[in-house]
Amino acid sequence: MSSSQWAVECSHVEFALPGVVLSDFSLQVATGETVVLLGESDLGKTAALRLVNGLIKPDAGEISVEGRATSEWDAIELRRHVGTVLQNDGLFPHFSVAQNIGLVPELLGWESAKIEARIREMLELVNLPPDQFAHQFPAQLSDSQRQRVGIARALAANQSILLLDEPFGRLAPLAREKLRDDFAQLCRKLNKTALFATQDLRDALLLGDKIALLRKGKLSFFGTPQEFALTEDPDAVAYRATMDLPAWMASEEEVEEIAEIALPGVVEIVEVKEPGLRAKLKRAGKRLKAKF
Amino acid sequence: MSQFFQQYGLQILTRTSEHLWLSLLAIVGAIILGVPLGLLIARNVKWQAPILRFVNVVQIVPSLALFGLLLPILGLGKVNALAALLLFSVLPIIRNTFTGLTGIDPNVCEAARALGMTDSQMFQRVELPLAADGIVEGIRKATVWCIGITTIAAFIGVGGLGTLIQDGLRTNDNSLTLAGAIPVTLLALGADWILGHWQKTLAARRAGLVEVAPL
Repeated sequence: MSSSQWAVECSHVEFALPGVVLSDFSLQVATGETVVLLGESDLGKTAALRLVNGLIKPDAGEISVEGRATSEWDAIELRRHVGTVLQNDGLFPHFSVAQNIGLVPELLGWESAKIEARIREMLELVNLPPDQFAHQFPAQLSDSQRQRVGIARALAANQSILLLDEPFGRLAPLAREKLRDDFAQLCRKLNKTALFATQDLRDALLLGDKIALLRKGKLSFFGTPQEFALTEDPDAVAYRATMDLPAWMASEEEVEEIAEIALPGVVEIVEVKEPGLRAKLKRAGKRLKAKF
Repeated sequence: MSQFFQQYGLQILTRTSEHLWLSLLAIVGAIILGVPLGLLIARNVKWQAPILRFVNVVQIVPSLALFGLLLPILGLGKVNALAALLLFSVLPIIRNTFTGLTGIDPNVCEAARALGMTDSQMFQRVELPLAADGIVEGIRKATVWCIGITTIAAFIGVGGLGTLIQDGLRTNDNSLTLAGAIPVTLLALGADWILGHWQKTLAARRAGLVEVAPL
């Protein structure tokens, strides 16, 4: 694959600020692929995303978006080309839902009829009935609805690349699970390239085509979720251990989902008992017990 | 009563209009000066301390003393009064513009940048509307002070309702004193009410609680 075919490519990026460090960070994201940047709560993941849309500049190394170095892009054009979803939604409180979603198309000078149609389409896409939600304001929405609007806003101008910075980070477990499912469907349907930062292993296993594990500013593992679940890479093993099975599987459905969809042949459910939700799982031939 | 109005009615009207004009000019000047200065110190931390310190010091000086202090430079009269009123009114405007702009949720600014707004779009469409009610709150405080202090400006001979109060006190004429005091109180209350109403509307709009013009 020639370098221009990567939707996003970071090569040997160095970046340092107090508390944030990325060193020798290289990553390639193919078009249509969802890469999950997984790592504990440090600012490296956020920095990586901000480097891609040009909000910050690397100290060394190069980042390319669709084959063009970010330094060659016009900064404003680049940011309108790449959709961003933030953890704290960042919705404009004085804009209605429709105005929030229609913002980038409007900045790009779309006709108003086209914008309006697009807003409806986006709201339907994120499962918010347009007639009910278009004229509401962010303050009237729940956290998960706000985050849906955030996702719709990031996709509204038909951006081909999405950057998501812990978009489900603030949500309650149930809302989180539901939104994650919807988002997974949406990703499959739209075939967008996405860089998704999270510290939640479930997000990584269920949404990622690839998982990029960041540890202390370095990329310590890069591979598919299946490879991640099996690898003996010490950082990946450590990450799996911090997120022990009982802790990271919230419900029976989720156990099944992770076992069957994300990790076929890796984790196998032996038995799930209710009430008390006890599950016996197998990982790489080893039997595991999970309590909920 | 009717005799009183026959005697003072015209005077009350002229004094009220003098008073209004003087306060209004000072407030407009303070807005023209204060909003950009508030913006400057919100953007540029270096200027923050010196500017806020200067206006704070001005605030501490008693109003009558400030008229006196400006006397050698600006002489007696309207220019002196306007300058002093403007100096008094500018502080709440600068401070509220500053706090309004710096108090915006950083996530909202980050989103504005990440979505590709230019600096001027961000200012016009995000920062200014979100800081607007704070700025109007500053203008409201400034206006109420200014109307009050304009009364004192009567001492340096610029007219206004303070003149009636002063004359009434000097001649021990209670009704004349009230002919100045009541209108000036009503002016201050009215300005407070109108600007307060405006501020509340803007605050509700900022929080997304009222309908704004459709897209």
